[in-house]
Amino acid sequence: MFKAIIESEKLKETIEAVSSIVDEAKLNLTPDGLTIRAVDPANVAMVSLTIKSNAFEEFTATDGELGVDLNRLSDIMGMAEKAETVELELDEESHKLVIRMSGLTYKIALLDPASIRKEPKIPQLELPASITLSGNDMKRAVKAAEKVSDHITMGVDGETFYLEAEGDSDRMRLDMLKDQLIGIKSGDAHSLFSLDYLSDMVKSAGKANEVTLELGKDFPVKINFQIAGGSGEVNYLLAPRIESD
Amino acid sequence: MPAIVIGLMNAKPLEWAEKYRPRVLTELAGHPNIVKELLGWGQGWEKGIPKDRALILYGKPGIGKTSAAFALANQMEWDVIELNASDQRTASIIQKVAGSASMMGTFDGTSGRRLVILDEADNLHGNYDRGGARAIINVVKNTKQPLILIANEFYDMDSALRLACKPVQFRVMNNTTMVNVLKSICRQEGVMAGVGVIEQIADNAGGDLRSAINDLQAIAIGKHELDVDDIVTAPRDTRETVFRAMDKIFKASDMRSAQEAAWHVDESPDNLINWIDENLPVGYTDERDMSAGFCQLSRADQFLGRVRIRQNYRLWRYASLFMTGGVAAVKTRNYTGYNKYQAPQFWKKLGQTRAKRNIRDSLAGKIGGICHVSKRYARSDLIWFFKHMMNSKEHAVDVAAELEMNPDEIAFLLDTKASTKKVKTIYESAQQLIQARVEHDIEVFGGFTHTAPVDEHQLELDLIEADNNGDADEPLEDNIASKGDTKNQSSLFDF
Repeated sequence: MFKAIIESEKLKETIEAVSSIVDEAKLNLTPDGLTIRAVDPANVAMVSLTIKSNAFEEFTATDGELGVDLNRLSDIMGMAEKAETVELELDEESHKLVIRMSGLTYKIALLDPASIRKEPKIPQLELPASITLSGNDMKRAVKAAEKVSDHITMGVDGETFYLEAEGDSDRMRLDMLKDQLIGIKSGDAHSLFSLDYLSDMVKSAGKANEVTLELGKDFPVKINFQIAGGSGEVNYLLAPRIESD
Repeated sequence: MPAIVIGLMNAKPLEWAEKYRPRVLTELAGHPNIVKELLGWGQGWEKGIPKDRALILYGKPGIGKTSAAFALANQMEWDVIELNASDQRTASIIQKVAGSASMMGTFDGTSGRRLVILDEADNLHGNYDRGGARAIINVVKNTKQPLILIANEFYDMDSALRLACKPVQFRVMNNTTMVNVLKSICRQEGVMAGVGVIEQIADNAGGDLRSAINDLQAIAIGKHELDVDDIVTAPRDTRETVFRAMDKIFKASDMRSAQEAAWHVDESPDNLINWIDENLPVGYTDERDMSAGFCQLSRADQFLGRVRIRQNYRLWRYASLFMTGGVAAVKTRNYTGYNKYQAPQFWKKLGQTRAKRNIRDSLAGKIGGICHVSKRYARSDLIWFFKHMMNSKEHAVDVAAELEMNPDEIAFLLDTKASTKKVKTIYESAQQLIQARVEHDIEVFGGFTHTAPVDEHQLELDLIEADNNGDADEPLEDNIASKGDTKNQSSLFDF
C-alpha cells in the first residue's frame, strides 16, 4: 500500500537527483519514507537517496518496492505548477501509479522491479579529505571546467580546495581558500573525474545550500547534500577516471 | 568480496544452462588452452595496462565464450559490465556506457578493474545501432580497462577492429567433453540416465553445449530416469555457411535436399537468389543446365517481385522452392568435384554503377516526358531506340536539342565518355540549335509585349550564350556575373 501527498517541487527535485544517473529505478517504500539506490549502466556512478516521511504532507506506506520509469514520471511532473501539491497512490489492482494534481489524473504503468538492474552494494569508503561548500560554487566550478575539457582534477592542498581542468590546448584552475568554503578537512586528495557525470550531478547539487565532497587520492568522490527542505538526503559516488600516461 | 556480476547470479535460475554456467575459469569445460591464455591476460592487468588491451573471443554459439568472459571476471574479482544485442548500441550509447566504463576506475579507486564485455560484436544492426562499429573501435583504442569482444564470425567484423584486438578462437566442443558435462549435471540433479542417452543428446547437439544442456533439461522434466526412447528432441539445426549450401544445391540429387540446404543458411530468399545467381555458372558447367537453371531463377525472381509488390511474405516459400529445388531439379547430369564459389557481386556492382544509373534515369525521365510514357517504360523499351538515333549523323543533333541533353547523357547514349570530341560537337551544335529556336521565338512572340515573359527569355539567352564553351558548370556563374553587372554596384577595386 502506498499513498502520499507532496509539494511538486520536492518531488521534482527527488526525481531529478536520480534520473541524472539512471532512467529506471526501484523505489523502496517503508512506513518511514522512501529510499532509492541505483548505479548507472557503466557501473561508474552511484546514487543513494532517502526521503523521510516528514517531507510529505501525508505519507502512508507498507514495505514494498515500485519500479518506475523516471523519464516518464519527470515528463508528467512537468504538468504540475510550482506551488501545487501532487498526490501519488498505488492502484494495487491494476498495479499502476495514480498521480493526481489539481483536477488532472494520470495512471502510469509501473515496471517489474525484477527487470530493473540490481541495486548496488554501497561500498564502505573512508576518504581522507572533506570539503563543504555552497552548491552554487560547486556548480560554477564544474561549469568553468567544461569550457576547456571533459575531465577535471579535484584535490586538496593544505587548506585550499583546488580544481584543475586541462584540455588539448587550454587549462583552467580554480583555487578555493578556507574562507570561501563552509568547511574543509585536509587530507591527501587528488583525483581525476569525468565532467560528463559531474555536470549531471551538480544539476541537483547546485540547488543545495551546502554540498559536502569527500575525496581521496585516485579514489571515488562522494557528493552529499540535502533535498526536500532538509528531510531528504542524496549521496552520489563517482569512480575516478584513469589518468593517461 | 566477489565482483558484482549482473544478470548472472540472479536468485534462482530456471535454466540448467544458466544454473551450471561455470563460475570460475577452472570450471570451464573443454578449452584448457584458452583458460590458460585468459588467466595470463587477466594477471597481466593486475600489474598495469598490458600490450593487448582487448580480446576477441570467437566461435560457434553455445560453446562457452560468454561464460569464459564472466568466469574470468569472477575469478579475478573484477567488476563487469556487458552490452549485448538486447541493448541498443548506437555510437552515443556505446560511447557513454562502454566508453565511460573503459576509461574510469571502479568504486575501489583507479586501481580497481572492470571488465567490459561487448557481446555479439559481429551483430550490430544497421540503422538501429547506427555508428556502433566505429564507436567500438574508438573504445578499443582508448580503453584503460580490460575489454572482451565476443563474436560468432571473426570475419564479419570490421578489419580495423580485428587488427586492434587479439583474437582467441573457441573450437567446437568434442563429444567426450560434452558427455562429461551432461553426466555431471545429471548427477547433481539426481537424474539417472540409461545407457547411450547422454551420448545421443551430445551427438544431436553438434558441438553446441548450451543446446545439449537445454535438450537434456527438456527431456528430464518430471523424470528421474531417462531412457533412449525419451529423446524426443531432434538433432539440432546447425547453421551452415552459405558456401556449403551452394554446393548442396548444385549437387543435390533431389529437390528436398536442395531445399533443406537453404533452410540451414541464415539468408533470406532475396539475398540467397543473388548467391545462386552468382554461382550458377560455377556449379553448372553444361550450358543447357545453366540456361535451365537461370530459367528457374527467373521464376523465383517473379515471386520475389510479387512479395515486394503485395507485401505478402508467404510467397517467399515459392521463390525459395524455385531457386533451390527448381535449380537442383533441372540439371541433366550429376556434378562432382570442388567448385570455388564466390560472394555475389550484385551489391558491389550496384554501388559502382550508381552514377551511370542516375544518368540513365534522368534521360528516361526526359524521354518519358516527350513521348508521354512512364519513366520506367522509357527506360526499358525506348532507350535503345534513342541510342540508335544518336548514332546517326542525321538525327543526333536534333534529338539532343529536343531533349536538352547534357554531355553526360549524350555520352551515355553513344556509349563513350563525356570528354570525347564527338560528344562535344553534338552538344555544341544542339545548344546552337536551341539558341536559334529561342531567338526565333522571341522574334515571333516578342513583339507583342515587353513584360515579364520576354525578360525571362532574355535571361535564358544569356545563359545559352555563355554556355557555348561547352562546360556544364560555367553558365550558372556567367549568369550570376551578368546579373551583377546590371546592378551597377561599383566595387572597391573600381577606384
